[in-house]
Amino acid sequence: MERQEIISRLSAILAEEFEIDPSLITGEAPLMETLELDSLDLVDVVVIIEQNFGVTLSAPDFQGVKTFDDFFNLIENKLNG
Amino acid sequence: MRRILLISANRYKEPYPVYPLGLSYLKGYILRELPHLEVEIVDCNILSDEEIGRRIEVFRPDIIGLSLRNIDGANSLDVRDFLEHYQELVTLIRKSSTAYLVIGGAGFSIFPEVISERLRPDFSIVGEGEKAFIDLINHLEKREESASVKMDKSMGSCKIINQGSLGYLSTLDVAFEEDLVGWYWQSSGMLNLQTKRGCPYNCIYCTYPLIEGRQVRTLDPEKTVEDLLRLKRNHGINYVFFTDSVFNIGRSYNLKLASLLIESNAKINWGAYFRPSGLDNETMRLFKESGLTHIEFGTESFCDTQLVNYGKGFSFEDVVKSSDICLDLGIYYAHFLILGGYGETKQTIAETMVNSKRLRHTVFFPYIGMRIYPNTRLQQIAVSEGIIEATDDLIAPKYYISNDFDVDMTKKLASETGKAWVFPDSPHNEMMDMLRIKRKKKGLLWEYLKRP
Ligand code: B12
Ligand code: SF4
Repeated sequence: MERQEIISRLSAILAEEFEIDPSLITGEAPLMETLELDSLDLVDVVVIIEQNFGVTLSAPDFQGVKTFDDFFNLIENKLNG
Repeated sequence: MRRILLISANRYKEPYPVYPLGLSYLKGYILRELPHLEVEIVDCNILSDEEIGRRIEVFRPDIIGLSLRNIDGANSLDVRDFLEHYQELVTLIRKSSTAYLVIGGAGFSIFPEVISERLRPDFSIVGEGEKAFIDLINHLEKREESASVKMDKSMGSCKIINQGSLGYLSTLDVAFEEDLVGWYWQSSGMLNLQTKRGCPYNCIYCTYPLIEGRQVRTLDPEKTVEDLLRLKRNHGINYVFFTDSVFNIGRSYNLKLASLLIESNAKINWGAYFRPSGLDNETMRLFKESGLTHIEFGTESFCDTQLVNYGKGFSFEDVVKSSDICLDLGIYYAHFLILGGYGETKQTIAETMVNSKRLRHTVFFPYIGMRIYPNTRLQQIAVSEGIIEATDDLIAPKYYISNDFDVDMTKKLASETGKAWVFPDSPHNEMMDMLRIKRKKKGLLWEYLKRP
């Protein structure tokens, strides 16, 4: 999947699931704060990704993920790598 | 005698609501043995007390069977007592009906005298209920077979029946309730079934052999597979938990069950409690092929000294070996632990923490301290150490928590291991509920909590 496609699909899904304004999802915006997640909610993110992209993440994958760009990179690597 | 109403009193929904399986076995057995009777099941997880009252008035039962599964939450960090609700329920039942009231269930069977005295049913049945209930109905109908019902003792006006485990009831019909199955599938993401009863082991704190007996009785594997296929065909259920005290006893039986599941092409995932000992690759591969996805190991400690103190009969090396087999085969596994139980010290905790790092891609669910139950070795120890009085009926939960144990320090050490330690006061249950309800996930789901 192309990076741009990943970004637009992922942004739409996250905005809908976490009920936030899609314009808040930008590359540099902080993932956890913007989606109002605590560390436990990451489990929910894992399931959303699994159900929509068919890849399984685990807690340590999120280490170093701070911004949406980091998150898009993570998914891109999982999908293509 | 025409109508029997079976009521599941359980309203506790942690870690998820549990389908009242015991009543489905009772109903199946009653309908098979006495097909002229009408039997209904109502469930306090789904109905309010007022609705239960109305169901009683409309159905007008001759006998009401009340199932008491949990007496308390068995969690020292969140002490709960369900007896008050049961007392209210009995008051409601008595107000709504003149039927005979019979009490039974796993939790009840640990404390038959105290509970019978408090709730004053007409009869109570300890342990396995099927045959004893039929004998009681026959006795009340004054049939010839009624001689086989053995009144063990009386508590006030209640007669307690304790017939032990009544030989082999190998082909039980489980009558799943159409309207309950859908609710549980949605709210718990699984149904349940039993493949065997009884546990021969002798862990110092455990009530399971007291409730189910020590002799292991396996249920007909063909019938079990048939029940599973029916659940799938009629309700689309593709995840079940086998409620056996320990699944991995009776190797040849388990192999047969797994082979039948594979042959039937059931494609139903399942989970169960396992003892982390005596597993081999070949058997586990077959279990996996038959649908095994999740194992809940009743490990209790990762320290050999504690495994001896708890009477577990296996070593930490067995735990590592069992875990590695699961990891190799891609079976999710979690370890359930009791920290701070009999004999625990700062050293044994330190050893458990160090050893936990050898277990990979898993999750640990530690309980703090041991709930002291009557008629266990732990009870004797607690009496001899002056922790409880010999006369304590233990219905109000008492925990054995070693003096040389510190919860906060233990939690700190646990978090330093970098492993997934989920203590009973962690809010993870709400998240799991969310995954079940909103994301429609099925199964045990703790695999989402595991860490490498
Ligand atoms: C499997 C199991 C679980 C599994 C259930 C998985 C699932 N999806 O079904 C899990 C891990 C989720 C679980 C959780 C808990 N469990 Co649990 N569990 C058991 C176990 C091992 C078997 C229960 C079972 O299903 N048996 C199979 C069915 C067919 O048998 P049954 O229900 O007992 O019914 C038979 C008889 O009791 C009798 N009977 C039943 N009702 C009636 C009614 C009448 C009128 C009559 C005559 C007879 C009768 O006849 C039936 C057929 O023979 C028992 C221990 C044991 N060995 O019994 C503990 C047990 C029931 N659990 C217990 C507890 C405490 C809990 C939890 C509160 C613990 C916790 N902190 O998480 C939770 C509560 C869950 C909930 N929502 O209710 C305690 C209850 C005692 C107490 N202290 O209150 C038990 C007894 C274990 C113990 N510590 O001694 N549990
Ligand atoms: S803890 Fe498990 S193995 Fe030990 S006696 Fe209880 S059910 Fe059996």
